[in-house]
Amino acid sequence: MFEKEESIVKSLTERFKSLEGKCEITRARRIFVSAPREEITAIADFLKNGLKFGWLCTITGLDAGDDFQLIYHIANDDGIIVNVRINAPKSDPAVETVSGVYEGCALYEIEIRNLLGADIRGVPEDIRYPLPDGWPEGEHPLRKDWKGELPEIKQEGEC
Amino acid sequence: MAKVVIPIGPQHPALKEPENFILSLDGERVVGATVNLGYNHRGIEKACEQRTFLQDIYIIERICGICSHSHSTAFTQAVEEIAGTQVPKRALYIRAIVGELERIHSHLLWLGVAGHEVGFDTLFMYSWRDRELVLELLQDITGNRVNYGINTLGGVRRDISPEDAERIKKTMDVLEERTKYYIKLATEETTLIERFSGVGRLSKEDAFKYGATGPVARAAGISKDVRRDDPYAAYGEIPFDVITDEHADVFGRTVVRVKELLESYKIIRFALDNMPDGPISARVPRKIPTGEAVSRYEAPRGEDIHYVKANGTDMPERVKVRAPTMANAASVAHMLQGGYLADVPIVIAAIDPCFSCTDRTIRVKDLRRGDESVMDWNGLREYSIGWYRQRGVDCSAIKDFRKEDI
Repeated sequence: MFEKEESIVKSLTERFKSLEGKCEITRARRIFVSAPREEITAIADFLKNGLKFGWLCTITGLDAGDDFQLIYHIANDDGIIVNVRINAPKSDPAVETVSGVYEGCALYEIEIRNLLGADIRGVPEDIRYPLPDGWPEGEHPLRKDWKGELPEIKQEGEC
Repeated sequence: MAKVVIPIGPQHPALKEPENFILSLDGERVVGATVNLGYNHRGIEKACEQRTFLQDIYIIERICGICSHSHSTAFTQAVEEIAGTQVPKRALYIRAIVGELERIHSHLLWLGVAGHEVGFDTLFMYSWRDRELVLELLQDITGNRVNYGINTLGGVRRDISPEDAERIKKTMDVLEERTKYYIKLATEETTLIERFSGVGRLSKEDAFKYGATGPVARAAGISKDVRRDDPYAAYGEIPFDVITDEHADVFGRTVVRVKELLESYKIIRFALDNMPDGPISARVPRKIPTGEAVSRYEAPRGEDIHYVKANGTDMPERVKVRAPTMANAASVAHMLQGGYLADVPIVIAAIDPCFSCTDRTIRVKDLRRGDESVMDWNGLREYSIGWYRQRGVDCSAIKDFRKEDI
């Protein structure tokens, strides 16, 4: 029934042994894959150049308790999306950028870095998008424990 | 001479939305461009986590004033997929019809803005007048001109009556005639061709490289449309063509959009004729079981993608939205480079970044007499026509497509 999806899963598991048993076809045109974070660049490269998945639609960042979770939504021209999920512990949140493979995607990674505080290596560090330029360091609004309380900024002479 | 750096925006950079462009100029040529976004970030994803799924539809709908239906449909589809809801077919057809009406109003709006950006205000007035017909249809069938509120979890909130269907078809006939005129205009009018050709070029390779989407990608020859590739709502059963063009510039983007209008009329006619009878919504539990879904929608500006994760409560664990303009942001920086400064407004406008509109009822308070009255849409229109007439501008000679005539 899901011939195309199954052949994609087969190619992925043949190329990456770590993905065996980690791929799930949830419905027509949707595949969820759980991958080790060290392999994300290699998987992205294989998807783009080996399996013709030309489009990185976006990257979702989640606060999953002790971990950050990143889901890379990668699509091909048949409307199939492979959702590659990686986990990075909050104590060591380093993840390599995939902007070397998908060039238009740096902004998605910058957004995750600033809103969640994941440490994406290899994207420009001085861009605060989508936060305001004067946003305090260390405040990451998409974290579950962030309640929206910021130090009040007052103008000189204001009381 | 040293390079000159010009900031454009964030206030109204040729369009009515905050965005900032830093342009490096060598004479009149743009040699470097950076796009700075984020001025309009309203924390909607976070807000969604703190509200119920049903409330979220109305927040999500307000992401965009123009493609509101795109966002609410993408979101409800994801939630319905997690909950395992079978949405009635009639509801899926109504979603597609409203979606196409939205595309028509959005593309006509764009055509007007494009005309305005190049000083062709007649085109702006023509296309926005025609757009009123669609907005009035949307108002009649959903209750609102924008932010229609037609979607709910499990289906839609209002049915389309046979009388509505008849009016929609008649309006489509009028609009089709107008659109054929616009196609003739866009492809034969020398001023437009000269002004749009070769401006804001984005080759097929670059569109692919920067992940362009929607009419921007299709105008570069990439045949990519979620309605065909990953069908949702009723699109799997409706025949239509995906319009592409090889010009890869502002001219190509114009041609793609006006030709897509014809496809939308086709889709609406087919959907109205083939819409099955039956219920328009199914019951969805208040608490959504644990799960996740990725939902896609072909918005007027390109692919809109939503990721929703549910945790078994009545509020989502995470809602992630990627609107099409975001995907085209990397492309626009590339398009600006090498072009002229004077082309910047139309190049930016040609990706059709979106902006809100609308106020349709106003409360009028007479300060001298102290009384209050409410002026409705028709009242406002009569007032504005009268206001111009008093000042010597008589619009009565212009054929006015009012809904009463259709």
